[in-house]
Amino acid sequence: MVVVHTQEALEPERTGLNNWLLQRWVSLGATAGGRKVPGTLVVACAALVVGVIACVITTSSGINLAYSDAQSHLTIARRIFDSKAPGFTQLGTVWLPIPTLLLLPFVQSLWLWHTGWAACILGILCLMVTVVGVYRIAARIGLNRAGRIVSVLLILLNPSILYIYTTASTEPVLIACMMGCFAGLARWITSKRNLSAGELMVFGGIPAAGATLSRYEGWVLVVTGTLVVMLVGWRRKRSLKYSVKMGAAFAVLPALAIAWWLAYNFAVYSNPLEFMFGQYSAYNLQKATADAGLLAYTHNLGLSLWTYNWSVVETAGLVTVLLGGAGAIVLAWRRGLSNEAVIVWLMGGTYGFLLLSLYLGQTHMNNDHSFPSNWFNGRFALAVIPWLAVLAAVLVDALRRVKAVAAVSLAVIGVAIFGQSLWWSQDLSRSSVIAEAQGYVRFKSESGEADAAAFLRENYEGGGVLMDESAAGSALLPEIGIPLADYYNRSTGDLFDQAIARPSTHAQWVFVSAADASGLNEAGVADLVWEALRENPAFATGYRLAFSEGTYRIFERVGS
Amino acid sequence: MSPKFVSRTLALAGLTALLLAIPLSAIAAPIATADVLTVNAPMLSLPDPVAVVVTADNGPIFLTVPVPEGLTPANVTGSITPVVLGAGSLHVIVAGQVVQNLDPSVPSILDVPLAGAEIVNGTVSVSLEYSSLLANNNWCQVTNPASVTVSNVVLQATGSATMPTTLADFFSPAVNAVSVQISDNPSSALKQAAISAVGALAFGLGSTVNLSATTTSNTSHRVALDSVRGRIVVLDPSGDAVTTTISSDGSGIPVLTIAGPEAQLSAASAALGSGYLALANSASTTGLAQTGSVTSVLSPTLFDLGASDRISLGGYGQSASYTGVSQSAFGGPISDATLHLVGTHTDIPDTILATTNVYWNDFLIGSTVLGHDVAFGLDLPIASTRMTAGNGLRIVLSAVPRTGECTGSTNVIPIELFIDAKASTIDATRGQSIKPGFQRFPQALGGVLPVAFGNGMTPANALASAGDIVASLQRQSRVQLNVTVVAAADFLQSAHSGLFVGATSDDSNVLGAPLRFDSFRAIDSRAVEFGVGTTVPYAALEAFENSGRNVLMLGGWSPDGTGAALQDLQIDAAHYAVNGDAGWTGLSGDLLIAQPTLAKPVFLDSNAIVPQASVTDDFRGYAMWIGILIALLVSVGVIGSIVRRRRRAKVKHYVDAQALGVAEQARAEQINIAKATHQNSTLE
Repeated sequence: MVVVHTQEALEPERTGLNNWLLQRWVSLGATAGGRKVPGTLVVACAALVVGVIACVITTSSGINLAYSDAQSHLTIARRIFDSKAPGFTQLGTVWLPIPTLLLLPFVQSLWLWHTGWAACILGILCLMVTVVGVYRIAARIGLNRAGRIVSVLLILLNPSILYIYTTASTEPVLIACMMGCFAGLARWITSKRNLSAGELMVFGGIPAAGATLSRYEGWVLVVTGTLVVMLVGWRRKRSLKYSVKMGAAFAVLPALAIAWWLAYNFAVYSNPLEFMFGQYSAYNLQKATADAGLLAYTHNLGLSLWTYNWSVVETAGLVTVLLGGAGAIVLAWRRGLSNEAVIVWLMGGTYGFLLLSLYLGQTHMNNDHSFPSNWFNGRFALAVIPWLAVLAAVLVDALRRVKAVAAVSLAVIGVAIFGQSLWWSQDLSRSSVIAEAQGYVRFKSESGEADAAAFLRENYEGGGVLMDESAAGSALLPEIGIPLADYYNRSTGDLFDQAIARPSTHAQWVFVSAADASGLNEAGVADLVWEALRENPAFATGYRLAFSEGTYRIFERVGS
Repeated sequence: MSPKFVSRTLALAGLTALLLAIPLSAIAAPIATADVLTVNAPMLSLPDPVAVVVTADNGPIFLTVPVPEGLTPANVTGSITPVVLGAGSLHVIVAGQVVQNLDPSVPSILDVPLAGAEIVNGTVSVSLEYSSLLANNNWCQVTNPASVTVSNVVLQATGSATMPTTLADFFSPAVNAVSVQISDNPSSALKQAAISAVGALAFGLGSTVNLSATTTSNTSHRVALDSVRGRIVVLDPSGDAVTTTISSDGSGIPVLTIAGPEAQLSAASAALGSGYLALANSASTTGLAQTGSVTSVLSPTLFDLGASDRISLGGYGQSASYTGVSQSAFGGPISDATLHLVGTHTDIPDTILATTNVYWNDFLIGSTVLGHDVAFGLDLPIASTRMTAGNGLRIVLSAVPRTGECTGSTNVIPIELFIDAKASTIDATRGQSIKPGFQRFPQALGGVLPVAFGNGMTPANALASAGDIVASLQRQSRVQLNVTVVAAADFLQSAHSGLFVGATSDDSNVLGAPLRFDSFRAIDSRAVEFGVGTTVPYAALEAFENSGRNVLMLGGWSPDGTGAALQDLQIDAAHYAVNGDAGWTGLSGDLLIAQPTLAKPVFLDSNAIVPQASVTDDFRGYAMWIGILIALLVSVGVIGSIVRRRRRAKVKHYVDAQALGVAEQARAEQINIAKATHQNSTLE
């Protein structure tokens, strides 16, 4: 029998595809009910695709390893198992452990670790969670399709977000956990069914705990989130007992997380506040900067606002800020302090926390409008972007409901969002986060740091490396790419001291940064290897200088 | 001559009164005092700061030495220093005769008799030609050619210098220093006239001529003058019309006195920079004046920019032309440009490879291979990232036989490229490509330079400093700056770019300078000497932008208030602008700090200063915005809540009314039904 494929016979396939697309489109505007939020999968897939593209772009140039903190996070994760002194104590203090632990599965591969793809994989997952979280929040509080799509676009088209999510920075994990928490709270708040304390603990408390163990901004979430839960609980049942119960349900896991961290610091360092005041704490590292008067915004609210707001504009984008600002006014007008609105206001807690932190001089941040001007820690403003995205969704939702202006206003907003992305694409350094990364790349190139890493990578054939990787400018281990078990550095404890005392019996190679600055000593980031070996006459006879550029020196044992 | 060119337009605008429309008796006006200078020594030694570079096999280079009027040149000496070593011979030629042959591979002394040399336009020329040993065989080589520099030139002359007798002769090429003097306690108009004079002289005379503007009693900051090559210009606010007379002072130094109403002296001073001054063949004149305004020129030709009308390159090997392109020639700052080159070249045979490369500030912006099509044209974009205040356009022609055999006569097939400088243009876009700092000047001024004086310096010191800065700026500008003096209060409130001399701490606060004249610390403590800015005074010349205007500001700070030391430091900073390394071009960044412990000021980036309290305090008021925002959101929220409640109440009322209506209707129907039923039962 001959089968004739007529045009009519082909139509069902095309119709099927169209139908599928239509269904996905409809799902993006469908009402969220129960546990499922229609459209989640679509948004997650979009984030996956965009995330992969961003990772390919940044890893191909190596800019994903530009931030020294990013390289350090990768290194800390890997040396839990690949080190002369492996173990979970390698987590150290100051930096909270969750981002490192999440990296653990991916840094098992030397290649993934060396190229930074380990962080990329985690970053893609975080991007998906972030975008899905924002989408679900918008859906839960009743925003329409246009608003939800705008909120997703403002994140997926933001180069600052996309770049940071390809690095091993801790912000992606924090933001993902926070969005998970807010989405869980949004579900609890808007659910027609009274969700139990256990459900709140799972859907809100667990991600909040993750946030508290990712960055210290997450600790604020415990307090503000608990207050919001108590407020909504009171409104729901007018029962103090109920509201306290629900507040406790939310707070217990993150509070336990904080308690665990304090206990960990006490157990390992005999000081529960080692992370706050220890040698490597932000307080200590910034002390020299603060004493030099370079934290000019300290106790100057106006300058703190000026500095921080410029960082927000230069990471989120002016269009995003304007849309978010207008959305805030619309939210106040339409919903005031309703339960749905409260969850959105809660998302702005990060803004307030960072502003306060700047005012108190606890955070060091610079941009091209600060005093002095420089690019530093602009990524701290990234956590505000999801909040602005949801506020923008509120604005778009409101405009969409006014027939007279709906089409025009949506068109204008769409053009503005894509125009903003086009503007960024013409010069990525317009993003403060990327400008800072480019600055680091330039510095590494000019200081000899990049060449030093390349030299050791190309010439190492075993024998061990003595290196103070904690010294300023020496967080290069992923870039070098040698297994960490080959290193004698501070993380190896006594072995490090032994190697410094007798390098020739320990390491064939010695990598040092010869930068000379008294401030480095005070901050604890002077190169201990260099300090010890330049006073050691035996070293000069046992090693030859194999590489010298800028302040970087690599020595090879004579007779190797 | 291009009618569009700014400086010529400026000159044409007002210089008519100077020319020959003066009483004939004035031509023969006697010079007041002795018009012949006698010198005690039989031979005068006149050092000249000129220096030339002589490149091997690049044709003769002329060392032009000015000769004061009345003197007879005897010989000229100088130092010859190899730059790029090469073998060959350096020929020194005077009046067509080779008078000296030197080995260019070693340092040597130039000692050339000038007997028989012709003085043309007050100068005598010595030709220097470097012939390398590979002259016949190296015409294919395009590598770095050998060269020497000739410096430390000294002219030995005999005779007696004669007093200039006309305004045209007064500023002869031999003049090496001019002191502009005004009376003590001058008015603003008189200060303007003095600074205008310095600016005009900086524009009209060579960059090696030392200039100063001082009051009568301020002799310490006056340029050193000798009776042979020094000149004095006195501005005298008296009389009803502007007149000029030439005399000499007690030392025999020629003095040009410009007298007239105070308000007209500035225009008269500006005329000192005019090329038409050479037509003033009288000692006494009336009506000296120059006025005009700078026009915006965004498409000058290369000829307008100073190139010869025909740029000709030719020959085998490599030949190049260079044209300096100052942003000031465009009447203001430019962000980017497009270079249009138009010309013709010889038909290049297939056996020859000839290319033309075009460089902008030594960055390759265009290249083309020359072939049979003799028309030459290139349109080359110049990006903003390549733009500086003073730019250099270099066009290089390279030609070699394709076979690489560099033997035989070089003239068999001529290779020539002619670029028509009057048809070739640079089309610029108005904008800014340089970050705030010294190098935004003078183009940011747009040809107009308002100057204000603060209370941070004495009037005499402020005048001298302003003169130095104006002279330096003018030497960097292709157009003559229109200098005005404005009141300090007006300058502080103005939106125009300009110069503020003698600024105080308050002035620096009002102007929003990045370095306020207060105590300061450098982020890198090694950037300045210990104590400077905290216990040791400093002076600073800074260049910054605030609210769209570019400001140059001179001031200082002392821990114990204004004192003599602070005055001297400010003068040092201003003087460095004109006498430092490479003049204004050598000023980098945006901050020049003069310190008492160092002879030479240091450059500092304003971003390398620990933020001063006076800077950060400017932002405290910004905190109100967060209060405004919170108040706005709260207000909107409250009003929204009230509106929603009222709407809910209305809706509830409407719904209740509707429900009541329905209930009443239902009751009415029930009553009707009951009535009907009763009726029916009654009927039955």
